[in-house]
Amino acid sequence: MSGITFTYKIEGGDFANAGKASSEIKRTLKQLNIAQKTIKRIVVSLYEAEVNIVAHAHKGSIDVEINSQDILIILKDEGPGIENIEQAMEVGYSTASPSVVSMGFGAGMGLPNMKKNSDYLNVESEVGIGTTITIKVALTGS
Amino acid sequence: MQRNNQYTTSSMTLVIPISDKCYFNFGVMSFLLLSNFHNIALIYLIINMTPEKLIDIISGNLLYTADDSSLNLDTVIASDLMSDVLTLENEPDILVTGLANTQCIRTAEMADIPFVIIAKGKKVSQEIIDLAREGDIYLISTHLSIYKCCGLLYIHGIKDTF
Repeated sequence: MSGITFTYKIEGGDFANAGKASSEIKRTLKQLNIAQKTIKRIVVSLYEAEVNIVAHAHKGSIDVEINSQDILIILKDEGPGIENIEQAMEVGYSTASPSVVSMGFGAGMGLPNMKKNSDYLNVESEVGIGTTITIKVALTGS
Repeated sequence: MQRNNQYTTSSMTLVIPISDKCYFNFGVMSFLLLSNFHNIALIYLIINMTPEKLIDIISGNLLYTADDSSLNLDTVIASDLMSDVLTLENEPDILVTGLANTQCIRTAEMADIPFVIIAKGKKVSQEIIDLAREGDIYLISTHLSIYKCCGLLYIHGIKDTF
């Protein structure tokens, strides 16, 4: 049985709206009385991933499914992809452009922070095609 | 007889809680002990650091007032790197940044930080103010540098989060 689902479209380079999806998901999770610490873990992971799409890809989508047990987030983008996922998971490794750095990101902390804040993280990528990130976090009540 | 001047410096802060929102902070910032001088001690009385009081301390310009009037400001993170802010385990009450774009508000929203100070006299766009309103986050600008702003917060008892 599926729970509540949401889909968002993300435009590459659209920093003005980066975080809008994360903000909306946060509001929904608050309404569902999810514990504050859990909400923070979810939205920090999601926001980092959302910023990554805006920063690196041409476009992408975010699919969110909220069940009684957990939240499943799939972020799929069309972009340059990640050449070496293992390296990208290391703190401090970054391929971000100066414009991304000027927005306060691009220090090579995104993927490690997503891993830290999620119960399950999977990164699949094909160079020149795009990247798909799957995040799962168990839900706990307030 | 030759005078033997003693010269000692030390740093100490003594905080005595009265209740969870009221405490005395005896901040002896820099004791200068010279044989011919009296000790100099700075004593600060801090009762519930409100947004209004803090804005006054940093000569801030209030750009958006959040609904939460009972906010007690106790801890701070200062950073231009939003990724750093997002890695914090705890939620600071204040974010001081020189980053004047929408992502500082988005980051505060995700990291549960209710009070944002944009320092260095950076121009704050209407877009940033609108986002602060949407997320109900206090937004303050100040002409002070991040260093001076944090220094003032420090001597008024605001604690580091990092």
